[in-house]
This record gives sequence, C-alpha cells and structure tokens, in this order.
Amino acid sequence: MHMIKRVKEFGTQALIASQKIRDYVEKFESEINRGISTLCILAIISRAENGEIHGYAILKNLEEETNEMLVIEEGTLYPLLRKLEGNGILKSEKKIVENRMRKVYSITERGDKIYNYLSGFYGKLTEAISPLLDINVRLKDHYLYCPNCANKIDLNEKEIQFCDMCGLNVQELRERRI
Amino acid sequence: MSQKNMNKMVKDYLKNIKEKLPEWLKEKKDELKDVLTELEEHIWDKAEELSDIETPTESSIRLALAHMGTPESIAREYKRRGTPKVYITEELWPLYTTVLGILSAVVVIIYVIFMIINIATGSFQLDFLGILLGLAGVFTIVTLIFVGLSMEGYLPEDFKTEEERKREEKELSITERKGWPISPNTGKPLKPFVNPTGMIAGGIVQMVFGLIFIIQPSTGFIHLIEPEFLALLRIFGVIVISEGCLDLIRGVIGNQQVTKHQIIISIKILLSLMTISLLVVLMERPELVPFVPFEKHLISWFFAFVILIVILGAISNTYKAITLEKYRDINF
Repeated sequence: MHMIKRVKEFGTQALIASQKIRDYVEKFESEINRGISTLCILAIISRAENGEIHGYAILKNLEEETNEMLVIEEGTLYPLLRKLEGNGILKSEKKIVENRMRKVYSITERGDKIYNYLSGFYGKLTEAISPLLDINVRLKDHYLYCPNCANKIDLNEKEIQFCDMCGLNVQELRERRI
Repeated sequence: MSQKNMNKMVKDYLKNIKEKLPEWLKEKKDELKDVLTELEEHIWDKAEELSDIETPTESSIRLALAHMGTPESIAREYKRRGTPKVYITEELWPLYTTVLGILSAVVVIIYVIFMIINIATGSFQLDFLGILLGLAGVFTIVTLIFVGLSMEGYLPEDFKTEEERKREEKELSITERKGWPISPNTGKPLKPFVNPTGMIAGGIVQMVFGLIFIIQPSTGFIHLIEPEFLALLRIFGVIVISEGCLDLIRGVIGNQQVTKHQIIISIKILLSLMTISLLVVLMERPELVPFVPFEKHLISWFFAFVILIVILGAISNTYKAITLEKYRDINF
C-alpha cells in the first residue's frame, strides 16, 4: 500500500533511513490512501463493462488507471469490498466469467448516488486545496457540482431537478450551465 | 514443483488467514467459506499472471502471496469495523450502555428483593457494600467484554439472527411508507413515542377509577371495612387521579415537546413511589385488608410483591424518560 515501501535502495543520508521517519510517512500515506482507494475502487466498478467486475479485475484496473501509484495490498481488497457490500453500496453475485465461476461486484442504485456525492466532494476539495499544494486541477465541464453539498450532477441527465444528496433544487443552475 | 506442493503453499496461507480472522466472521460459516474461496481464486489468478509459462509455478505463487499481504494485515482489515469511541466503538456503544443498564438494574432488583425479605422477616440491616461491589463488578466485566468485542471488529448486527434482521428490514420499510423519522444516533426507525388517543382515553379511565376510590359510593358492606383502610383508599384515589391527569396532558401534547414529557414522567415516578408508603402500611398491618380469606403473612408477601412491581415500574419509567432524548428535534 505504501509507496515508500517500494523503495528498495536508499542512501544512508536519506530521510527514510530513519525507521521513525519511515514509519511516520508510511502511516501518513496509509491515511491518505485509505479513503482515496475506496473512492477509486467505486469509480472502477461504476465504469465497468455491464456495471459488473470481479475482485482481481478491480485490482488490475486500479494499477493500470493510476499508473501503479495507488497499489493496495491485494488481500485487503476483499475486506473492503465486503464492507461496501455490507453498507449497501455494492452488491455481488456469482457468475461465470471467462469460463470460471467468479464473484462479481456491481454498484447499487443508492451506492451510485453516494459515489457521485463522494467523487464530487473529493473533486471540489482537491480543486480547493490545489493552490496550497502548487498543483493544477481542472474539473470537467459536463458536471455540475451542487453548491450546497458538492454532489456531482451529470448535466447530460435531463431529468434531474433536485440534488440527490441534499435535495437542493438545481434546475435553474442546470439550465444556466447547459 | 508439483501441483500438490503448490496447493499446500496456498492452503497453508489461507489456513493462517483463517486462524487470524475475527470470531464474528468465523461464526458465519458460509461467509467465511466465501471469503477464503475469493482469496484463493485471486492467488491463483495472480500466480498465473506472474508466471513466465502461463501456468502457476512455485516462484509465481510465492510472489502472488507476497502481493496479497500478510495474513495479519488481511485479518486486521476484517477487524477494522466501527468508529472508535473511548476503546468501545460508536456502533457498540448503545448496546454497551443498554447491557450495562439492564445488568445494573438486575443487581439493584436483587438487592431490593433481599431488602424486602429482610424487612418481612424483621432482620433489616442497611448494607450498601454488597450493591456497590455488585455494580462495580458488572461495570468492569461488561466494559472488558465490550472493549474486546470492539477490538475484534464486532458490530451490533453480528448478534442478530436472520429473523431479527428481516424483522428490522420490515420495520424500516413501514417507517419509510409512513414517513416516520429515523434516529440520527442509532440509524433505527423511530416510532411515535405516544399514542395520543390511547393516552387520553387511559387518562380518563384512571381519573374515573380514582374518583370512585375517593367518593367510595355507599354500599351495604362498607361498614364492614376498617375506616383506616378506606382512608388509605382515598389517598390512593388522589394518586390515581393525578396519574390520570398527567396521562391526559401527555396525550394532548402528543409526540412533541420532549422536555415536558420527561417532566411529567418524573412526576409520575414520584407518585408511584408514594404508593409504596401506602403498600408498606398494608404490608405491616395486613389485618386492615377486608374480605381476604388468606393467612396474614401471605397478604404481607402479596404487598411486598406489589412493592417490587411498583419499583420495577419506576425503573422502567426512568429508562423511558432517558430514552426520550432521542426524540429531541424529531418531528412526527
């Protein structure tokens, strides 16, 4: 899970030569990664073909999509998926995929709404803190972010009148943006 | 390396994980099997991908297992459930306080029963050490158990049976249909805490009964009853009328103004405790009770039992008044 763990060789003057600093940064990385990896896993599942994907494919996609920056200990994926399933965000069923019986995961209707909110919140948060970290973040134009709660609303979906998360009437905002 | 040895490597790894998994998961046999099967499939997939010859080899399995992480880290993820709150998770906290409350009440009740027996047998001695030790023991044991359960990642639903879960789902759908609120603290549906019509009707009935106790309509046998007993009945009538009035007021207020309901329940508790003094008089002087063909000591025991019921009622009302807090800021 930690980038620092993947550093195999380092100079004796390097900060990570100190076990204390190594532990500190590893813990910090872990804290940052925890929420982000859940969000990325939800993103991968919601984008999957037919909306269904098995655990192993989730990890493969995660590695590829994040250029191997976000790598989690593979065994820890399944407790995370189970937790999301327990919370009603994901659902699973056994299906034959590539000639093998596998457990495939898909996002529930409620989970999709929660994912939209979380990705909207994370997007707006990253945009807001980007000047502090000297990075450039530009949110995509075909989404409207609810001014009340930062929920991500797809402008291509014509029927949406109220924000799914906080219930704010967003029709006027939508029309102005479209 | 033979297939048998590769299988053994994977099985040993899974066995190691199984041993370290939390107890709540081990108890759910189907779920446990599902968890281990999914992990095993992943290992073979990974080993196949990492192998140069497109079928798993000893080294690719070893690499796949390294990618999986240690059995401890996987088991730790399954234990990472619940939000920490002073060593006991937030999710287990309501169950912890409920269990603590019930067991403390049991200790108090046992103490009261012994006290009543002592009073009845004339060997009463005030001794608070026993009850204090009992409560301290309950607190220590329950707290230690819940800290342990929190560390293992237990959640309240792990203690529920399949039927209970289905019943809760049904209750939730009724709540949604009727538009009742959901508690922000527990996430459980909140039913109205007062049935206004029932409360008003009950209050009126109580007031009528109270009035009969006070007026004591003249009957042919009233002269056979001890005047002291009739006086006690009148006092009891005043208490019953007061309780009826309070229920009537609660019914009129309805499912709002939690503080007023709590104040009224507190007054009702005081009134019910007042009846204990009347019952003690009757327990001490059973000869006052008319038309009862039993031995006097049996009448005393009967009133001791009624006192116990009144005390239990007072405890239950105290609990009700406290739990009304969850209805604050909730609109029905």
